[in-house]
Amino acid sequence: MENQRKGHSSRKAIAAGVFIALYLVTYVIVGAICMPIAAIFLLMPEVVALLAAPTYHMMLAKSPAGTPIFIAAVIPSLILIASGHIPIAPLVSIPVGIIAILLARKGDYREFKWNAVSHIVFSWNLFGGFVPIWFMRDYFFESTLEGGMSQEFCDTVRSLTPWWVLPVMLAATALFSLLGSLFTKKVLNKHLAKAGVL
Amino acid sequence: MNRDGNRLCLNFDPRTKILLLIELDIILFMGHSLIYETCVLLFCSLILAIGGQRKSAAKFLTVYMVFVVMQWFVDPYVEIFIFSLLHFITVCVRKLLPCIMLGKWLIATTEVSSFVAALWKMKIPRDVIITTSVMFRCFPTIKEEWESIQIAMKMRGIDLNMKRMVTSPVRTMEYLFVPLFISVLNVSDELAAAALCRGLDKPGHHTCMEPVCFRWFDYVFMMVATIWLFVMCALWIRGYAV
Repeated sequence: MENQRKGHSSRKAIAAGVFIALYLVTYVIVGAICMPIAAIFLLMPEVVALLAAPTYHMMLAKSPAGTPIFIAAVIPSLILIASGHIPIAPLVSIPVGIIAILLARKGDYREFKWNAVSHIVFSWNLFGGFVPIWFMRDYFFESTLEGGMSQEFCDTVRSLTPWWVLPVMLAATALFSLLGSLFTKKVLNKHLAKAGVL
Repeated sequence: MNRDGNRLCLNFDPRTKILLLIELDIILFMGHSLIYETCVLLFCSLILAIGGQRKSAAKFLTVYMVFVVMQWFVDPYVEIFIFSLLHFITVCVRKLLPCIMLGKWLIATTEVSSFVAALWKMKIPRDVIITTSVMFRCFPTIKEEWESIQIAMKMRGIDLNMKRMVTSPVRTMEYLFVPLFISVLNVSDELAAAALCRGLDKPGHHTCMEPVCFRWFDYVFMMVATIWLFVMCALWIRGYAV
């Protein structure tokens, strides 16, 4: 019995790993498209929130636990550090991951409503790469310039980011994450239930 | 000593490799001058050379020198678009080269089984080990699945492009996610079956063919990297730029 219970858990952990990989693929692809163009650089967390919501819900459906949420929240910030960003990204993504876990746990990781709320918070994990724009402004542009981005890119980003853009971005990310969750519930779940995987 | 019995080649513990990768990544981004970057790169090449990858160490050193020279040539013409793009690519790749080197070395010289054994030794929770090791092995699989899905979509006359994404987003996302999820779930089922066969769920202590333990060279290199990191931190806090 003990073995069977454990066997169940490794199956879930494997499913979680596969879906986190899918999430990271989404993140990297969207990042690679958005990163070089200043105007859509700021749209990146919103687009990721929209496209990652189905993956997030699927991941929780297949592996209802907190560990995958935490891993999925923290790994993008590690990628940011590894690609030469200012290493404060985990300071945002770790608390965000923990709050997302607590919220999802309220619905026992199974209730759609709480999972959707948890995804809103979860999708703020990418802001670790963006907050330096406001809080370490000079340092951010200096290091971006040194990282090989053009002066033009820095100037555009600087002119596009007065202080109120941060709350607007947070709200927009929340909205897009909700849209993604709704899409999952209305469109995807029907198909997946029909295919017998949900 | 590695398995070929090559005496000049040291087989580092996977934990040392991870620590070196993390510490040198941080060290790399703490300094900005070319000399500093070259020092980091030389240290990484040294690690690669004694860690069993002499050829690729030489290759990376050559690439680095080519990039430095290229940047020197391109620099006066950055106003022209092509050159600014070239400049961007050379600077980006040159900055990341030590990370790429160490990452490649970590992946090329570490068996998955000894890596997992090292993680077990670090007392990391089981679920975290399984999830992360599955995650890293999944990227090529997802790419393959995605290519097959695209071929299948083309056969039915559905092209996935930006225009469709904007004109009918819901439908495009539906076409994108449903097949992807189903094939990904199949992959995860297959992996679970494979894991069952390999006894991943076996309770108790798991063993590994290769001995996983720290030796003197592990300690030496970890010490060097850690002291370097501390010195850099101290300099950074005091406001010296290197």
